Amino acid sequence: MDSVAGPQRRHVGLNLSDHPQEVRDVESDVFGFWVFFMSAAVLFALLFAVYGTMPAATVGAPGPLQMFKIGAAFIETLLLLTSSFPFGLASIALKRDVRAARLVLWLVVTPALGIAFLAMEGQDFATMAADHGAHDRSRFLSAFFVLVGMHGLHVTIDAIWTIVMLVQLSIFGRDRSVKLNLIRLSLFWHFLDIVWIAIFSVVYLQGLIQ
Amino acid sequence: MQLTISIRDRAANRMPTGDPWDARSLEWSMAAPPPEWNFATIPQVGGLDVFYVCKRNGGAYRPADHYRDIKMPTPTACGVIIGLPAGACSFGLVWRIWWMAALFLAVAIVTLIARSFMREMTRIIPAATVEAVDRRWLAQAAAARPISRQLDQSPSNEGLAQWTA
Repeated sequence: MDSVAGPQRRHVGLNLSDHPQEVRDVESDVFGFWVFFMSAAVLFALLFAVYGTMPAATVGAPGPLQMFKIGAAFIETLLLLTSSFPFGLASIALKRDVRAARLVLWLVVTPALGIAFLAMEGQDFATMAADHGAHDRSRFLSAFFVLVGMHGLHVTIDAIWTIVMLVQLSIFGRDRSVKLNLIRLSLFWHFLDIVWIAIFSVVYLQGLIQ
Repeated sequence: MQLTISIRDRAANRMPTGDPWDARSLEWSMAAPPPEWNFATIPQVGGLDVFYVCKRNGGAYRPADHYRDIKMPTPTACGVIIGLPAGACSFGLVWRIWWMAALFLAVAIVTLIARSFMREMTRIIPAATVEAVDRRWLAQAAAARPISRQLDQSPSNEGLAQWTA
């Protein structure tokens, strides 16, 4: 624990060298990624705003009460939020562990949970579409599918990104670029969890309140 | 047509010193065409119309005290290989040509992933190269015949403007 000092303390997932140029480069790269995913936050904020105006706009199609199943949404929540934990362990393994095996293990568990989440969500979407709830049936359903679907699309991209990182780990080992990408990927993964918490509260819980 | 004429007459219209009409701002203070790193040293700006003022107080067309290494990105076609297919994908989405959207989306994503496997994204231009190129241009500028505003449309314009205090 005591061995962590200076620049390493500031970049929690990264065992950087003490080279000041490297620390500066990492700072600007990670900051750039923050700016990027804040633009994703703006996108989600807009989709939430649109969704917020739509719950009553069902035009005769099934509304939230008929469409949402709290049990499935709850299990999806558990899967996705749990997936942040192995990624946290991956960050620690990236920083402290001399062996790559543990890092690889957590980087396999994380997207596996994400893919399980996506599979359940996909099944939900298919059930809804079959049950007179397709995306083009009402404004409410359009807003629902674009908001929740956009989150699902981001999780899909994150899962693909994690698998690409596993391949890069096997080729390059833990070089600077791999470490940097993993730190950015972890930021994005945790960010999507936060968005899901908002979706679960605003879309599912609020939709099911009588 | 504009491109054709520009390319056809490029030899007659060349003005390597880069300032054909006693311009004011910094983009005119370098060679035409400029080297890939643009400025040999980072210019210090203390006011408006820096280049215009520099020409009048003798600060323009001088070698730098110190030339430094310049870090440049390595040339890559990835931007084009992602951008054009992304445009084609959008076209497919707008007109509901699903095979086109899927195909070009895949091309863009595969290129993006392939790009992430590349290392060596930057290269260093040594200070000596920067200095040599800059001094060659300065020598060319010193040999150029200054051109007055009245004649700046003529082919004898080598890109060195005649200026008066």
